[in-house]
Amino acid sequence: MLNDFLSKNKNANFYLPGEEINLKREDLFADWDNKIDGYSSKGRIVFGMCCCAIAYLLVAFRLFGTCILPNLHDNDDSNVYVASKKIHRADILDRNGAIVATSLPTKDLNANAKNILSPRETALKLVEIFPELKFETVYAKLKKRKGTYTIKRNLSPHQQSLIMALGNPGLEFVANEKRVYPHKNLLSHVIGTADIDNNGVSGIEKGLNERIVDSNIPVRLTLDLGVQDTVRTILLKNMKKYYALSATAILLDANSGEVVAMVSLPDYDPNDISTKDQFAQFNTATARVYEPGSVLKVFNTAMALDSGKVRISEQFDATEPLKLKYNTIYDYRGENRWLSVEEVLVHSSNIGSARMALQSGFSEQYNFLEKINFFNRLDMDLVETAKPLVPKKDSWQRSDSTVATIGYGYGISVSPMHIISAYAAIVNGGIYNNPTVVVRSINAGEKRRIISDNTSKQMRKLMRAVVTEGSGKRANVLGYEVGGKTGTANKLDANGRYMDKKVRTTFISAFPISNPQYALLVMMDEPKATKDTFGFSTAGWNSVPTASEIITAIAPQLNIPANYDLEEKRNSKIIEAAFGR
Amino acid sequence: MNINRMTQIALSLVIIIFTVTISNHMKNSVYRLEDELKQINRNIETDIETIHILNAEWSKLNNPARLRALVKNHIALNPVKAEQIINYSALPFGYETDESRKEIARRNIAVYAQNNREFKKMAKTQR
Repeated sequence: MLNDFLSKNKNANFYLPGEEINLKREDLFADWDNKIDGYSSKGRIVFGMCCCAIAYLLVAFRLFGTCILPNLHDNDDSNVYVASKKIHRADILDRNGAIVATSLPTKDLNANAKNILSPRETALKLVEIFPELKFETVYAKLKKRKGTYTIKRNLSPHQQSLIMALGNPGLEFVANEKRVYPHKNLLSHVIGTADIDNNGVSGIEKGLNERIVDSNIPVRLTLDLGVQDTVRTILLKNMKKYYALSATAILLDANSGEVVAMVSLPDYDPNDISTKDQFAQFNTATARVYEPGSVLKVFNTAMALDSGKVRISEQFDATEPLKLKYNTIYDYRGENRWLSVEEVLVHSSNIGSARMALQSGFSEQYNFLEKINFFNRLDMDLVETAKPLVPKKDSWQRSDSTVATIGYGYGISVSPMHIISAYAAIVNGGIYNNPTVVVRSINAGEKRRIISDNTSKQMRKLMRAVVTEGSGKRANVLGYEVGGKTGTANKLDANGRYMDKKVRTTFISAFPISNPQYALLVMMDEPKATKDTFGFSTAGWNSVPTASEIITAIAPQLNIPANYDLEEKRNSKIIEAAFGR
Repeated sequence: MNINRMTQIALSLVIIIFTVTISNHMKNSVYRLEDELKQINRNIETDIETIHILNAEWSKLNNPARLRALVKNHIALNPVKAEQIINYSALPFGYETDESRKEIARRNIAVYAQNNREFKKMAKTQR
């Protein structure tokens, strides 16, 4: 068409420059035959031009769309950097944000046996770099000339550079990650461990495995590293001092149920997954149930007072052992007289507690123990929680002796965590909080009233009396008004009979008792009588001094103002002088 | 007319060459920028990883047992005891303008001094 156009112009008349301006429009197209060319060819040109214009317009619109308008597609390959989830397990932090478990990127060394140059020399060099490997096994793998083998997991950067220097095409690095616990034994039973494939095996790592794998956001524990360390150091020292088999300490925020410190000894280093010490891996704080002994008298008394069937002023006959249908209840160093409610607790009278339980009756006791969660596994994020051992309901209902023995702490087995969370509820005004080791949003935890505020007030007074006058004297830490209850329970042997010298001693306490902020449980398994304890192995001689030491050390750390009283100091000096020598 | 047409053709050629050059240049600079972006993203990733490792190391260095050992060896400080924490009211209120508050403060100090004297005596007798 263009040629046609140009050739037509060749035949045109000659014009001087500028002359064409004078030409009329009709003259210009004078030789244009409408019949031959017509509007059809003209129209085609216009059509072509329109097409071009539309194409350009489209390009212009598209350019405008991509450059000027904001990007509306979400899953578009955006240029903004988004951190890819390279680390597969989220960190675990303590209460104050310090890392207690984290994953570090490492490299595994794989050998692609097909590409290995001179297997024998390579094996020799590998053994030189990793002295713990055996030459024979490495050589046997490389010799096969097929398949891929993992030579060594989690190389250090130095080892990586040594392997690089070998320059062997058959040696490959594979990205991996290693779970690291910077504080070693300190939180071993709380955090637990993860295996080589980065799956949680125990503790929080297993309990919250899905949450840790799914999200990059760290898990925040309620435990305080500093407090935990103080508690652990003191407990370890005292466990050795009294030759105990194991020891447990739990520090609970009395008003929220948050666990601030939880130590179970012996413990293990979670970094070293090869340890197979079953005893050390056992979490005695939540996973072991035992008969707590006299500490249950606290709950028995609270139940009796709250039910209204026992008044605080009432007295109980403890002049002689209480004879029931199948057994007789004796007192340990009995007073052999009538005791008030306060004296029953202060002197830890089995007879008095049993009478109190019988007076309240089965249904009150059963309902109360149900209310303080003594029948169920604790709903914590740890996997190692134990189900309490409770007598069957109908046989319990029929037997007065079961009601009586549970009154002073035998015949029912619960874990230390059960005891301390219930104790916190008794002293904090009567509100039970489900214990937790992971920070939860406000009001997320289960809360319920178990006793009235007034009963709680009475119980606080009784608890204080136990420490100032009773078996808890040695826990009377100056300035911190400790209130608590001791318990010494004989252990059962394999045949289900109580052993004479083997006991578990428990001390539960709260401080400051006038407005409890923290509840502490110290439990020792089979502490031995030593020269320092004058041959005693009851709670007052091992668990109580340990608790006292712990409270002395952690109360300033927890920022609790001391209520300092000269009279108290003078009294305690006399007590210390009497006990200390 | 002929020259005019030639100019038109030349002009369009120039425009085409110009456009091609510009677009080629733009394409190259986009490639360069993309490379730069990739590098930056890689750097961010390495930095995040390094920070992660450093955080772990910082936590390890802050291990309470280690800190305790360091404090024991290098600083002459002991853990705070309950007796060392006193009430605000026990402080000397020299700057207090209110007479009554000054009086309270003085009385408090007197009580504390008296207490201290008694403690010392008790400590002596114990020894």
